[in-house]
Amino acid sequence: MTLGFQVSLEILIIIMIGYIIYCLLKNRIIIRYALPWLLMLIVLGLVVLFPKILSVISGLMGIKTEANMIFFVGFCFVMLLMFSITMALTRCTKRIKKLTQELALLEHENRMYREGQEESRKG
Amino acid sequence: MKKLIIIPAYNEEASIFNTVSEIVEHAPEFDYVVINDCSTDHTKKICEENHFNVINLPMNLGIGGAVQTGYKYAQRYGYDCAVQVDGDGQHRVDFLKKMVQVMEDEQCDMVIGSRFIEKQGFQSTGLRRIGIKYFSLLIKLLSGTYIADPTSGLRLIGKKAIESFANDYPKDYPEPETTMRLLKKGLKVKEIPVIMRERQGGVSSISTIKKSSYYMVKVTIAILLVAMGRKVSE
Repeated sequence: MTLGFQVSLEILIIIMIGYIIYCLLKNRIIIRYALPWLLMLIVLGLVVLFPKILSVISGLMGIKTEANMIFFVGFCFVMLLMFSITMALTRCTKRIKKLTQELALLEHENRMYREGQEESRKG
Repeated sequence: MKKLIIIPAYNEEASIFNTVSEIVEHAPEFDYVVINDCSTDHTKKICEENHFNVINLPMNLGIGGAVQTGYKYAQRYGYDCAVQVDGDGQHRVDFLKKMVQVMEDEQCDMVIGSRFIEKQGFQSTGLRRIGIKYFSLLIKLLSGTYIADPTSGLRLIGKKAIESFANDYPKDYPEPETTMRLLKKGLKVKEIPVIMRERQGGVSSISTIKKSSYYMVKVTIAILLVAMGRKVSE
C-alpha cells in the first residue's frame, strides 16, 4: 500500500464513521444496530494504519494471499450481520402483530361500550 | 357452553353478507365475530351497515394473524369453544351442531370437519389432494395419529386449544402445524365427515406454483419443528 492510498482510505473510513455518528445524532439509527458497523470501521481503520496485521492474521489462518483472507473474513462478518438483522426483523414482526391485534380488540371493545352508552341514553 | 364462530374476512364483499346471515339464521346458539383483515374492498362497510359484530384490524396480518385475533377474542370473553368458518362460503354451518356434539360427547380438544372421510361434496383438485395426503402421512409418522384432512379450516377447538392458539399461531397456512402441536401436547383431536362447497367468491391463497412450493416446504418445516419441540410463545 502506498502512503497516498492509505491516507485516502483512512479519510473514507473517518467519513463513514462520521456519517454513522451523524445518523445517531439525528436519531435515524439506534445505538444497538450502529455498534457492529462502528466496530467494523474501527477494525478496518486499524488494518489500514498497520497493514502488517493482515499478513500476521492470514499467516495464522493458513491463507496464502491477504486479499483472500479479507474477502473471507468480510463475508463471514456480513453473513453474521444479516442474520442478526433477520432475527431483529422477526422480533419486530411479532411485536407489530401483537400490537395490531391488541389495538383491534380494544377498538372493538370501545365501540361496543360506546354503543351501549348510546342505547342507555336513548333509554 | 359459550360458543364462538370466527369468520376471517379479507376482501370478501361478495360473500360476507351471506356467510354471516347463514350463521345468524342456522346457528343462532353460536356467537360470531368477523375479523376484517384490513380489506381493501367494501367488507368493512358491509359489516358496519348491517351491524355485524366485526373487529377491524388496522393492518393486514394474513389469515393466521386474523384467526388468532378471533382466538384472543374467545379467550378474553371466556368462550368454551371456537370454530373458524371461512368468509368465502366453503363451510356449511349445519355441521357445526354435530361438531359441538362430538366435542361434548367425546371430551376432545379439537374436532376437525373432514372432506375425505365419506368423500362427499367438493373434494379439492388432484394435486392438492396429493399434498394433503402427504401431510396426513407426515403427521401420522410424527404423532401416531392419522388425520385425513389436516388442511381443513373447519375446526372446532376447546378451551385448552384456544389458550394455546391465542398465544402462538402461525402467520400463514396454520392448520397442519397447529393440529400437530395439539397432538404433540397430548390433546385429543377427532375428525368427523363434512361436505364442503366450492368457494363462492375470492381466490385461494395457494394458487400458483411458487405459492404451492412455499406451502409444502413451509408447512413441512413447521410440522418438523413442532415435533422436535419448538418453543411456543408465553
